[in-house]
Amino acid sequence: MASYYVRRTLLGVSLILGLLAIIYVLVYVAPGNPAYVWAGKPRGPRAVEAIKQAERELGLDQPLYIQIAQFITRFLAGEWGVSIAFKQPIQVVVFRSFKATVELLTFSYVFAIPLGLALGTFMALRRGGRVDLLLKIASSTFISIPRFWLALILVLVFYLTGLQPLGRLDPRYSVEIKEITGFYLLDSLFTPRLDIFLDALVRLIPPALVVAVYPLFSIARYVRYSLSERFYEDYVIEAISLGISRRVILARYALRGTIPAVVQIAGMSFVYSFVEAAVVEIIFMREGVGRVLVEGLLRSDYPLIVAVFFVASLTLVIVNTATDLIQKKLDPRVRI
Amino acid sequence: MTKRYSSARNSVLRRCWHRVDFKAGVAILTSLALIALLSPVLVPYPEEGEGIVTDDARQRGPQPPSVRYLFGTDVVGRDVLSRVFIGSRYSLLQTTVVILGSLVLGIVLGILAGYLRGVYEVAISYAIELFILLPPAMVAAALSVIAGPSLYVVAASLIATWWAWYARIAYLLSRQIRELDFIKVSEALGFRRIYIAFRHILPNVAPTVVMQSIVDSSSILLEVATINFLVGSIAASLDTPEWGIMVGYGFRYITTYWWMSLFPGFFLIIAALGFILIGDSISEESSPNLRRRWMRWF
Repeated sequence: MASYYVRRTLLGVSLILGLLAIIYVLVYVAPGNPAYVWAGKPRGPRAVEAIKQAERELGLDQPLYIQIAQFITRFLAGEWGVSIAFKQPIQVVVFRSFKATVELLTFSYVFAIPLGLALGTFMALRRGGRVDLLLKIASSTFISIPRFWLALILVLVFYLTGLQPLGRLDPRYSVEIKEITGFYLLDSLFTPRLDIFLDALVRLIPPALVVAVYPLFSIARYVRYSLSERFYEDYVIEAISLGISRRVILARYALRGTIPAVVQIAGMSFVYSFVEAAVVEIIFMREGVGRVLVEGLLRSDYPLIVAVFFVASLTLVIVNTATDLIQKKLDPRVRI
Repeated sequence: MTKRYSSARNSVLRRCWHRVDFKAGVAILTSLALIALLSPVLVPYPEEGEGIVTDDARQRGPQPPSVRYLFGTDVVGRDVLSRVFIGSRYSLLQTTVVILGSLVLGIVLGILAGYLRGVYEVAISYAIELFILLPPAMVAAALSVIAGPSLYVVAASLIATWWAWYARIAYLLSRQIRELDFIKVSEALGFRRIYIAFRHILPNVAPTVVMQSIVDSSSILLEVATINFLVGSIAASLDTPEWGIMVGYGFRYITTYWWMSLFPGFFLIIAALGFILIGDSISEESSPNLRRRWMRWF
C-alpha cells in the first residue's frame, strides 16, 4: 500500500487536471459560439480574424476529449495567451496581481492568527462569564459584517478625515521602486528605501485590517469552542488533580491539541479570502486580483478570467494538500 | 421500518428554544421575513423599490436621509428605504435557493456515493473533492462573461460549488450507516438498492446535513452578497434591488451619496447576525461537553 503522503499528492495532481477539464468544459458548453466567447466577444472589422484565432487556439474541429487534452497540455506548458484587457501576456498579468494580493493576505494573517489564538484562549478561560458573553456578541457581529461594506465605510471615513491611503503606493514611488520579489514591503527594504517602505505599509494597513476581521474572529471562535471542550477531558482533570499548574496544562496540553485544526482553518480561510481580498482591493483601489477581475469582466476577457480562476483554485489545491500533509505529520491518526 | 440510530437532534432544537441568542436569531429572521413578505404594501414607493425611475423620483434627485425619505434617495432619486425593503425579498430568496439547491444536490449525490460503492463511489467522491475547490466568485465571473451577469448566474455558481460540502458530509455518514445491521437486513430481504438508499439511509443522513446548512447559512448569505457586490459594482446594467448589488451600486457614489451603500449594508449585517445566532446555538447545544457548564474544573 502506497504511503499516505504519496496518495494525497497524487490526488492533488489529479485534481489540478480535473480543474483544467472543468474550466474547458465550461467554455465549451457556453451558449453560442465558444470561439466568440474565447476571443472576448469581439466587434468591429477585426472580429472575424480574432474568432478564427480563437478557433485555432481551442482546436474546435477535434473531438471533445482531444480538445480537453490539448487545452491541458497548452496550459501546463505555460501558453496562456495574451490578455485582451491588459495587452500583455496573461502569465505576467496574473502573477503580478497575485503577488500583490498575497502580500495583502499574508500581512493580515500574520496579525490575525496569533491575535485569534490569544482572544480565543482568553474567552475559553472566561467562558460563561460576562466578558466572554460580550466578546462573543462582538465576534458574532464582526463576522456578520460583510467585508466589502466595512471597506467602503473605512474609505468613507478616510475621505471625511482628509486622509487618502488608497492605492498600493504613492504614484511618485511606483516609478521609483525596483521590482525584485514583487512584494513592495520586501522590495523597499532590499533597495533600501525606508520612505517607500513606510508609504507601502501605511497603505497596506487599512485593507489588511478589513481582510483580517474574518480569520481573526473565526479562529477565536473555534479556539474558544474547542478549548472549552478540552477543559472537560479526562486528561485535563487528571493533570489538575496531580497538581500541575493551570498555565502549564493550558500551554503544553490543551492548547497544543487545537493547533492542527487551527492550521487547517487558517490554511483554508487564507485561500478562500482571495476573493474577499480582491473585493477589498477594488474598494481601496489597489492593484491586484480584484482589479484584474474587474478589467477582465468589463472587457469580457475570458482567457484572463480563466487564468485567474485556475491560479486561485491551484493555490487551493496546493494549500489543501499541504495542510493535509502537515496534519498527518502532527496527528498520525489521520487517514484518507 | 426505518431505524433512526440518532434521536438526539430533536432534543437539540428543543434545548435551543430555551436560549436567549436562539430566540433573538429567530426574532430577527422572522421580522426580516415579514418585511420581505409585506414589503409591497409596506413601503411608500413600491415601483421605485422594484427599480422603476418614476417622474417623481427624477424630479427629487439624490437626497440625504430625512423624515420623508428615512434612508435618503439614490442617485436617480429612488427611495432607498423602499429599495432595501423590497430587496430583502431578492436577498433572502437567493440565499434560500442556494441553500436548498446545494442541500438536495449534495445529499442525493453524497448518499449515492456512500451507498452504491464501486465506480459510482470513486467517480462521485472525486467530483466532490474537485467541486469543493472551485472558488464560487471565480465561477460566477466566468459564467457572467459567458451568459451575462444576473442573480441566476450568481445563485447557480454558488450551488455548483457549495453542494460538494454537503455531499462530503452525506458521503461520510452514509458510508458508516451502510455497515449497520438494519441495512444488511434490508439487503438480505432483497429490496432494491435505490429503495434502501432513499428509504433507510436518507432519513439518517439528512438531519445532520440540514443542521450543517443552518450553521452555514450566514456564510452563504455573505458569500452571495460579496459576489453580487462584485458583479453589481461592475455591471451597471444589473439594477435588481438586492442588498449586495445596492451596496455595489452605491460604491461609485460613496463620497457624495454614502447613504446608498450604508443602509443595505446594515440589513445584510442584521440578517447575517440572525443566521449566526441560530447556527451557533445549534452547534453549541449539539456538543454534549459544552452543556455541562456547572462543572468548572478550569
